[in-house]
Amino acid sequence: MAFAVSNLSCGYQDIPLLSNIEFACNNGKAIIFQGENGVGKSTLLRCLSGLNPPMSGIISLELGTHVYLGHSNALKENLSVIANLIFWENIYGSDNIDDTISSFKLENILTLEVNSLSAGQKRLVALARIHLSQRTCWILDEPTTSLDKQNVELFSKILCHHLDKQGTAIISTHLKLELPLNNLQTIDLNSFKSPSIKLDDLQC
Amino acid sequence: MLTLLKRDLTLAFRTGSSLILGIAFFLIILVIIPLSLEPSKKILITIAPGIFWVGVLLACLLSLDRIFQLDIEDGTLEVLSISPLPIEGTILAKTFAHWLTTCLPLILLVPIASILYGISKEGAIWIIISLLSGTPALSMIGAFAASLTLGLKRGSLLLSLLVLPLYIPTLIFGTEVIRKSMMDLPVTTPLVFLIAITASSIAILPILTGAAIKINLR
Amino acid sequence: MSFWKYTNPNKFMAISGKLLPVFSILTVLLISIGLIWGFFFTPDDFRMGSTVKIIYLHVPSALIAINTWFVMLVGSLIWLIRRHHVSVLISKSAAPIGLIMTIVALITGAIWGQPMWGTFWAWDPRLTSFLILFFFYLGYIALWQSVDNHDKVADLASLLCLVGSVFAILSRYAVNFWNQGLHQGASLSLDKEENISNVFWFPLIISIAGFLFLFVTLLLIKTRTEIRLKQLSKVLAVNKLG
Repeated sequence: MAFAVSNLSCGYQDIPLLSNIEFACNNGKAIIFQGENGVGKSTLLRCLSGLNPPMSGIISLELGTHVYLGHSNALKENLSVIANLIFWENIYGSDNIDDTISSFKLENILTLEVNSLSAGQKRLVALARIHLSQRTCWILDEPTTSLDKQNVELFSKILCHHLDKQGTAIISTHLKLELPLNNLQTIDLNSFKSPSIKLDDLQC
Repeated sequence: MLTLLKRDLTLAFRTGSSLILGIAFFLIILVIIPLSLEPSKKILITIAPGIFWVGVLLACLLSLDRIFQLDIEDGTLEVLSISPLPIEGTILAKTFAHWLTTCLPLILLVPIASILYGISKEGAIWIIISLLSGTPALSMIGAFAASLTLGLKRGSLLLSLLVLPLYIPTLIFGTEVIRKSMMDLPVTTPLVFLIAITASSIAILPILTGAAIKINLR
Repeated sequence: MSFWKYTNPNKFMAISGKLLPVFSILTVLLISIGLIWGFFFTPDDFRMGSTVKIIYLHVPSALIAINTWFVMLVGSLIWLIRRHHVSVLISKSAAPIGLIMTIVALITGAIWGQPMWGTFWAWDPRLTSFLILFFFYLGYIALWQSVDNHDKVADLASLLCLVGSVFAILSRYAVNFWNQGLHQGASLSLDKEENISNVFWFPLIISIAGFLFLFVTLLLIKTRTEIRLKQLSKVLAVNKLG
């Protein structure tokens, strides 16, 4: 078992959005979170990645084994694609930059500045950072926004490859990713929505 | 950490304007003050230590809000805070980059600027020593204050209000070093205090700054 | 640790509600006695004339101004370590009181100084320290006003109070060093308690006690307001969600 979460509740400003979350993730498996807008998908992912402290519960994820992609791409707009990748290569201490570039088919845009790329291309480079990090657990918040059909397929293939190598992934998305079904576990976050707080229960 | 330093320096030179802005601002202050007073040599030499320090201080202020701002906006700071590089390392690298691009150029200008104020060579050397010992503290304390005001609209005004009282001890000891040296008095006390402030700021503030950044990223 | 039970907001409201009337009465009583006795029933000092009586306002306000920052520091530390909301609300409430006390200390110090030094302001180390303290208070209060998220700003303001305390003490030394050369030996020390005879001493002590109760009374009132405000905002937030 790669990691597990038990009795987790997370929220915003003292108010829980999701509670009693329980799931486990085995090596080679991916977990897909689905739910309506505002249910707390992003909050939960930020919680799992260590950015927000949980309101209660236990996350048994080893430090240093995960990498996070949020809504922002975490790319410096004024630098070229290759400069950004080399920066992250140094931060993560990776040795697979050539593999990353070829997997994501970035050869043609390497020397372009990020601010001259389209939204979809920027997202692709952001996903490349995830692959570059060589971390086992990928925590991805809406990874395929702005990607065209071709690139979504490209990313799905790369994700499959990652899972085949016993990596794990936690993804929130609206779209259907093409993945062989036995690797996937879909969790509907609506079932974890916190009960509305009654006024009588309020404490300072 | 080095790679972050290199990246920030590259970005600073790429956008270029903030580098030149600091230098231009410093020089303008140094020129405006004598224009607003009677340019007697005696007065100029008396006020020079203060003016040099205040000039550096204000130039520092100008670029402080950008230490973390750009990285917050494109999400890099978030990812860096959970990367293998500890947040304190990120902070030290960015603070050093700030010092190299804001304070160091001004220190290099001191020989030229001291001619404007009729300061002797020994005086200029002491100004440089004083600035070298004290400006790292300005960058570090400034980074701490910037971490408190991360992501606030109009944050730079609040940043100035928070950071200027914190700058006062550094300012006083820094100018005292120069004044005492000009009067041939022993310079040890203020110099020791100045270096102590710089050293302890660099040792302790990164941890508090890191805590503040993590709080603001929640 | 039975003392910590007062950090429960409801217990705090209960106890402070009972204490407030008593404290308010004591405040009014002590301050009136202290000031009236001090202003009207003590002889004029043969050197300083009648303006010296401003010390009945100046000394207490100066003492409270400094001690308020200390209260804020303790409250901030307790918040950072034990996460009791009441303690950080005490810090938040104390700040405006400290600010006003600092302003009173500065103005009364200037009024006292005028006949003595011939000028309303001198860069005396003590007065300058108070001026710097004024800005520390201003910054702390401004930070609280700028951030919407309560838990975030409580943490940030507490960090600021911590670092600010160190630099405030440093400033005191720095300012002493900065000005000692010019005013060595000048009779600018404003706490001449050892020179004040008993005639002045008793009303001064009563004034100080009165100001102390004033501080506690105002602090309790403001903290209670802050607790209610926080509870209200939580209700509003839950209503919006639910």
